[in-house]
Amino acid sequence: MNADNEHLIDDINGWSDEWLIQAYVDGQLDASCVCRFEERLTADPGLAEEVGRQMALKSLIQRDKLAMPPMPRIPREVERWCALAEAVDVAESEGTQFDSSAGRGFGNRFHSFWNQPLVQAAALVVLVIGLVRLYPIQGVGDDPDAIASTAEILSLDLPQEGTGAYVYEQAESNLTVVWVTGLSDGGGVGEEPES
Amino acid sequence: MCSIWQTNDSDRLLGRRLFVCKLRDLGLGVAALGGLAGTPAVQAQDAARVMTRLIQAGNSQGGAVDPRLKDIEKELRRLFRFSSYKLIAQKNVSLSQGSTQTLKLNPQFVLVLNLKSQSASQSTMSVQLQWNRRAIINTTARLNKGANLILGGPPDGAGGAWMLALKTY
Repeated sequence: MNADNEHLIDDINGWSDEWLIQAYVDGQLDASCVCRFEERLTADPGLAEEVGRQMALKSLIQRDKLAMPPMPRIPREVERWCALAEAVDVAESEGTQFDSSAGRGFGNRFHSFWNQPLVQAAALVVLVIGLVRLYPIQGVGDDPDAIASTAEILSLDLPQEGTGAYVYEQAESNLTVVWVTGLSDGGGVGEEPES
Repeated sequence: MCSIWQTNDSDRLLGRRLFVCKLRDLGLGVAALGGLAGTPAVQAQDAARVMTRLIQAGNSQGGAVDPRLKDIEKELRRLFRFSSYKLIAQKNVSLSQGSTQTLKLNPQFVLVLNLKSQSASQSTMSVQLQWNRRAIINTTARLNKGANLILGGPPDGAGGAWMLALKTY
């Protein structure tokens, strides 16, 4: 069984059958002990049956251990495993056959697609460009109130003789005034602005 | 725009695909709206809307100011010594570039407007104010949107004066 004889058990005096069976099944006995124990097995069917059961159990454990899947290492695998588990639960509860393609459908790929940082950054850039296009950023000089507060006189002509005009243009005011003086209506004279 | 894909999968999968389909349509719709809003055809303004108000300023008891002059009341009180401002007539017109409109505001005052140029925020127009069938002011002014141009001076014969307020909006 084990080639390394230094670590094998060579003295089994006083051992119970349970200990002997475990040591035999695990290959921990040396050749002489194995020989003596196998002589007992041929003579004792009950003991042989127990040994056979332990051997079968050991082979079962080893086989299952090899079939165990590796632990998922990255979140995407975790999601896939969760989706598979959910699909199994749904199939069991509905009494239908498990669809192994579950968890790998379009929705999952779509979700994975949007989970990529580059895609999210690109979507954010597109959103910002769209908002800026819809609502242009206004600089200090583009204040609509400041624009609205000015009216500029480009030319002025007073057809009536003897009349004059004051022109008030103030940047901080939303009024630009052209006030004509010297107009008479039955001898009256036009009012002038206070300032 | 969006066709439903043939599928034999569960309703949940179909619903998910329809949802994605609607998202796609929504995104295309938003993009179309964004593109539409950004086109010059929508942003450009070919016509100027002008508000004209004939105001009689005086020194009557109480010093009332017509509530329809609230937007310029503060500036009027700052610039003139009149105590009352009464809105006699108001006419709003829409001028296309190069067009001329003649407005009879009351039996005494006629206003002739000609829009020379127009942009999104500015209007350049020539204005003639006639008083008792005589032209008293010929001027060309560039008005930014929301700005007020006051043309005044003719006496009202009662110690007050007439003034005309022009405003583009």
